[in-house]
Formats: sequence, C-alpha cells, structure tokens
Amino acid sequence: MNADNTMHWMSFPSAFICAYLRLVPLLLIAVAGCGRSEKPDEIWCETGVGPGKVVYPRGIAYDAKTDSFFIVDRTAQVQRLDKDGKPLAEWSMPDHLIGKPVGLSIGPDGNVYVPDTHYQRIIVYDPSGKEIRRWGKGGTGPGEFIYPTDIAFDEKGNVYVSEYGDHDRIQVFDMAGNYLRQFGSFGTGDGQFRRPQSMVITGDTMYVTDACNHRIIQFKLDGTWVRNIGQVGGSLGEFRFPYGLDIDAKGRLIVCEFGNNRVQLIDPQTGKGIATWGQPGREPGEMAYPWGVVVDKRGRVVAVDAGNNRLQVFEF
Amino acid sequence: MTRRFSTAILLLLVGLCSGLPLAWMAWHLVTNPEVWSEFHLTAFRLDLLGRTLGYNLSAALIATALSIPAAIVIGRGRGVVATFVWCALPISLFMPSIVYTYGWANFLLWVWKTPDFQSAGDVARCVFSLATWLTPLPAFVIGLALRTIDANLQQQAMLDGALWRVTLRQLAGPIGASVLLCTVLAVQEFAVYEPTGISVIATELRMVFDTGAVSSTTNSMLAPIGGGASRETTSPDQRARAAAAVATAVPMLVMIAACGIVGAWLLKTFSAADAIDAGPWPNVLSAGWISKSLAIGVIALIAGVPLVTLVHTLSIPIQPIFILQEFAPGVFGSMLGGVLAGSAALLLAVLATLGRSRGAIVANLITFLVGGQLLAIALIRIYNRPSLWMVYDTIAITVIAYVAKFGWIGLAAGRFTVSHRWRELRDLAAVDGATPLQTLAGVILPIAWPLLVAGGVCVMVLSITEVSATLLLMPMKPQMLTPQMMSWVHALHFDPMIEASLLLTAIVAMLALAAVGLGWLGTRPILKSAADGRR
Repeated sequence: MNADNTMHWMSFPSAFICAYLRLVPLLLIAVAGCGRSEKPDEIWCETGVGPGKVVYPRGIAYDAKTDSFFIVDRTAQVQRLDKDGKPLAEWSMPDHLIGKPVGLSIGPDGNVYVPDTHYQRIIVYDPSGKEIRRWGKGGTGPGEFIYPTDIAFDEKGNVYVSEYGDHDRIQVFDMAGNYLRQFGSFGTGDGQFRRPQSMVITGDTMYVTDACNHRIIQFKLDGTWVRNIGQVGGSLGEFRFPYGLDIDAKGRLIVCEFGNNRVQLIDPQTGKGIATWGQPGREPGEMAYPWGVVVDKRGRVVAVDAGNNRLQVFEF
Repeated sequence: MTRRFSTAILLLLVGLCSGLPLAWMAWHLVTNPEVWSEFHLTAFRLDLLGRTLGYNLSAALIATALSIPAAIVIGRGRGVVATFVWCALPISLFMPSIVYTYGWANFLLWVWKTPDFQSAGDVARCVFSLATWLTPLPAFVIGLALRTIDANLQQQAMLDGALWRVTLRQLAGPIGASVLLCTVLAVQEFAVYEPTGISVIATELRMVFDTGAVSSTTNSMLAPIGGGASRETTSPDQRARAAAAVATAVPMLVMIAACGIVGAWLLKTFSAADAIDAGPWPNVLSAGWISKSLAIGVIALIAGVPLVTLVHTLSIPIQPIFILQEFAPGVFGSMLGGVLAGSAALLLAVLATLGRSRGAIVANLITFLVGGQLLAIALIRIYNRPSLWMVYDTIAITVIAYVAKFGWIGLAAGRFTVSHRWRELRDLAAVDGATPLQTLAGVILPIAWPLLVAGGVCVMVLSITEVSATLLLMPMKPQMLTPQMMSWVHALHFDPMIEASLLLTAIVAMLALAAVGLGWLGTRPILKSAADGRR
C-alpha cells in the first residue's frame, strides 16, 4: 500500500461511514411508534393459565342465544366468557401433546364444536364442557381430516368442516357427523384453497378465508365457486393471511388479518374494503398476529389478539 | 483525549446493551431464593440436565466429526475446491435454526416419514439437525488452527510416518474447544427442539417464562409462540415468571460457564497457534482428493439437503415478487433490525480502532454465551415500564438484544486494527505528528474499512437470522419475519413457511457473500504485507 493509494481511499470511506452512522438514529426515530391507533372499548383476559387468562389464544366463537363467548388458546384450554368477558367455565381438550385446536364454533343446537386440528377429528361439547361426541380420523378419504380448521352450519343443519394440509377442502356432514359431500381442492385457482382458515354462512352463501392465497372466496352452499375477494397487500381491500372471519348484522364481512395485524370491514357486494381497525403493536388498539374475530348481537367486534394474549373489543 | 472519549462512548454502548442485562441477571441470581433450590438436584432436575447435556453434547460431537474433512481443506486446501469450501461451508450456519430444522423435517417426510413427536427418532432428528447446522463452526476453528501449524514440523512428521498422529496432537486443543463451543451454542438452542415439544433446559426456560410452569401433560410446550413480551407493565406475574425463568436457567448457565472456561483453556494450552497464518506450506501437505471430495459431500449434506428439500416441497412455483408482497412487513422489519444492529456494530468497530475494547469484548461475549432467551427476558423486565415505551415498544429493544449478542464481532474487527501488524502503521503516523483521530481517518480507515464494514454486515446477517431473543421480544414496530415463521414451523409441507424460509435464506446468502468479500478485501493488504515480510 503506497501513500498515494492511502490518500485516494481516505475521503470516501471516512465520509461514508460517518454519514451512515449519523443517518441511523434518524431512521430509528422515524420508525419508532409511527402511526396512531384507535383505542378499543374494552380489553378482555390477561396473560397466564386459569380463568380469565390466556396464552396465545387462537379460536373464538359467539353464542347469540346465551350471549357468551368461547375461546381456545395454546394451553388447549377452552373458556366460556360472559358478555363482559368474565370467565364462566373452562375445560381442557383431551389430548394436546402434538398440537392445539385453531378454531371453534357454536352449533345450532347450542353445543361447542371444536376442530381438534392436530388430532384430525371434531369434538362436540355441551356449553359446560362435557364431551358429547367426536368423529373423524386422519386421512384424505371421505370423513377423514388432515388439519381441520373451522366449522360452520347452514340453516338445514348441515355441518361444514374446512381443512388444510396438502388436501385442502371443505367437507359437509350431517349433525350426527355422517359424511355427505365435499368441495374445493388445494391450489391457487378459482374454487381452490391454500389453508381455508375460517368460514361464515349467510343464507345460501358461504365465505371462506383462503389464508395463504390472501383472499376471501365466495361459494354457493352446493360448492359452486362464485368469486374471489381481495388480493395480497396491505391496502384497503387487500389481505395478508386473513385468518378470522365473521359477518355483522348489516351483512358486512369482518376479516381478521394475521399478516397485517388488523381487522378489516369488507363490503361483500363490491368486495371493497370499507375500514380497518388496529395496527401492529402492543398498546390498546394495536395487535400482534390476530387469529380470530366475532361480532356479537350488539355489533361489538371481539378480536383475538393472539400475540398480546388478550381479546380486544371495539365497534366499526 | 480522543482515546478516552471513544473508550467512554464504547463502554456506554456496551454497558447499555450487555452490562445492564447482565447486571439484572446477576441481581436475580443473587437475590432470588428459587435459584438456590435449583442446586438441589431432584430427579426431575437431574433428568432435565442429563437430557440437555446428552442431546447437545451428541450434536457437538457429530458436528465436530462431520467437520474434519472441511477443516482439512480450509487448513491445507488450495485451488477452486478450497475457495468453494471457504464460501459454501457457512451457508448452513447463516440459515435461521428454525428454517434449517424445518428443512430436515421435510426431508425426512419426503424420503421416509416423520418420527413420532418426542420419540427417540424425533430426538435423533433434532440432534442431527443441530449437528449439521453447527458443522461450519468446528470446521473453521480446526481449519484455521491447522493453518497455523508449522509446516516443517508436519513435513518431518510425514517423513517419520506419523503425520496424522502429530497433527492430531497439535489440533487436540482446537478439536476439544470446538466440541465445547458447539455444546454451548446447542445448549442455548430451543427452536430445534420446541416444534415437537422436546424438553431440554432451553425449551423449559421459555415455558416457565411464558406460562409460569415447566412443561407437563397439562402444560404442553408444543404450540406457536406465546406473547412473552406482551405489555404487562404492572403485572407482578411477569416479574415472578421472569425470576423463575432465570432460576430454571441456572444449570444451563453453569454448563455454559464450564464449557466456555475449559474451551478457552484448551485453545490456549494445547493449540499450536501463535499467528493467524504460518505462511505457505509445501504441496505434499496440501489436502488430497479424498479430503476435498468428503468436504464437498459434507457441504452437500449440511447445506444442500435442507435447501433442495425446501425447494422440492413447495407446492406452487416460486414467485419472488409474490413472496416479497406476502412478507413485505416482516422483511422490512427484519432488514431494518439487521441494518440498525449492523450499524451499531460498525460504530463499535470504529470506536474499537481508537479506544480500549478488551473489557467490552469480554462483556459482549458473556451476553452472547448467556443466550438470546435470558437476554430477552432481562431486557423485557428492564424496559417494560411506561416511561421507557420508546425502547420497549419499538425496534430499539430488539436492536439492543442483537448488539448485546453479536456486538463482539464488530469489536473484534475493530481490535484487529490494533494488533501488532497494524502498530507499525500507527507508529509511523504518530512519528509524522498525526493525532489518533487523524491516524484513524488518514491511515487506518482507508485500509481497514472493508473489514470493519464486513463486521457490521456479519452482525446484520446474524441479527436477521436470530431466533431465540427475537421470538421472546416479538417486535411489532415493525414486525419481523421470524416470529411469524415460528407459528408455522409445526406444519410440514406448508407453503408460506417454505416461501419465507427461502426468502430469508436468499437475503442472508447475498449479505453473507458481501461480508465474506469485504472481509477478504479488508484482511488482504495486511496479510499480503506479512507474506511479503516473510519473503
């Protein structure tokens, strides 16, 4: 290395390194806490194991008849909460060493239907937690499951079970668990899924969150594909890993996005986004990897803020 | 004056990142009665300790055994194959542990079947994944030690027919140290064991912090991440869980301290190394085709198998733009965390070229050895208070964790410029009347900047792939990729997990290549001058 070379190199690296190091704190300040979050009306549950406590809750269901909520978390505890989020009852899933349920639903009979995701079966409980029956086993045949995610019911009393795991589909059963038919398959095309995570049925229409294709699919109840809503992204009307889904009294879709850390209100007629609630974070009004959402009869939205170990209650 | 000022800033930074968490841990260890109960070796504790040591020592031994051919090529290799081994070997280590273990789990499913959770086969899968992930470390430690062995001694040994016996004796220290180093790193690792619920100290530590109790039939650890860092400013529960987690970690800390001390002693006592490079060696000592073939085979095994499996397992065609859109928020967060940590490491490196840094490196190395989980718990407890939300609720706390864990790489890069080979340059500049700052700006930085930047890029890469601290801190402003991936690691053949894994690997590979190139550029002038000196 000679002196000329040294002089030649001197100005660039020193100036560059100094300028770069000066820029970094400004960037840090710019990112820190940017954005404003709308506060929730209420926050339910806190971290821990036991009544009123949750660890990474994932599934939620609302029973309009008794005005109560059911949730399930990573400790495999199912809890029943009253309309104010106070614990009423709790029970544990029978097996949970290899995984926990990712959803649960309330049947027209008032019972709690739990897709026991990693045990490839459906378990039905009464509202106090007493097991009534179970059906299903691992496999890809009729009445068998890989990873069941959610359960929905139509007005005729048919039971729709969504599942993923290389054999994504929706199977239809009667209330006793007898297989009737199925529709959908794995893929990215129309009428295909990559992780159908949640379903909601209204009249003869079914909406399914197609989580890994970042869209909502509308079907007729006979399995006919109608249309796709949304695409990947973070703008209004776009989704990143939509997991939770419900429908409000005005027929609008409420979508909970795991990847965008928000809840979005969608007009099902136009497929356009109307509003969003929440942003990434830990403060009230902020969310961390939300999994599920329900709307109660008062129009309150209850979102499962999994990463923050709580439920957030708000209205659009 | 300049030296004092830079030393003060350096100590302040290291004190903030490493000193505070270490002080918090020390305080809890001293004042927490639960800690002392950990020394009562009940059957449960003995079992846990035995499992942890058994699994991780096995992983370390396998890693060291696998590394030998690559070490020979690194130490005595020439030509294209040696260059390839230098560049390709670290790939596995630069992949996040969850990506790596996910690749192996999918491979087993592809060619055979998934072992039952927590079965002997499952443990063997974890141990082998961990071993292959860590293999580059012993390869480089032993290979670099081999480079320092006196070629004349080896030639004489060869004539006596005792080449391998003598070489092995010379390398006994580095080999032993490699085993212990791998054990230390394996003991801290929980992301490999957690997806199938295997109980070792690292996984129990997280269980205790998340749920307040060790795993059991009613408290299974198999689940996506918990919100360990959720906002509970006033909760006494988090304080109690943090204290219990520190107590749970005591056997692990003792194990790490013992391995660290013995490893350092082995390196110092038995290593033949007294210089970075002992110079050229005769062709007769060069790595033969058997070593080169085996080294390439090892690279194919440790890096090729998981990567090829991930690509093969993806059910849809790879669409880079779509994948980037899918994971844009997480990629932005991970990159930003990496850039900020890398920048802080670069600052540390620049400061280390001016001031004293030995104590800072020691403190930083201790936080590295303590592991990401304990570090994250300490930071959560320190910063989870309303007045400090600017740190706790932002990316700052994650960057502090990364600097605490990897800052020593920047410091080491900076310290390299105060080694005896650079002293002549500094002395010459001082004779010409240059102040330390002028020497830095006019002499050291123009030559050493690629090395310092390489240190920063290396810290950036390690920060992007860091798992343990990131999962517990679970940054949300902005969110990062690793916590999102951890919630999918349990489902094999899962496209988003594979897409995110490949994306992360591609980003990290590009950055790692840049770091290797810069490192080569930065050390070349000084090594070249040393070689010229020998001639």
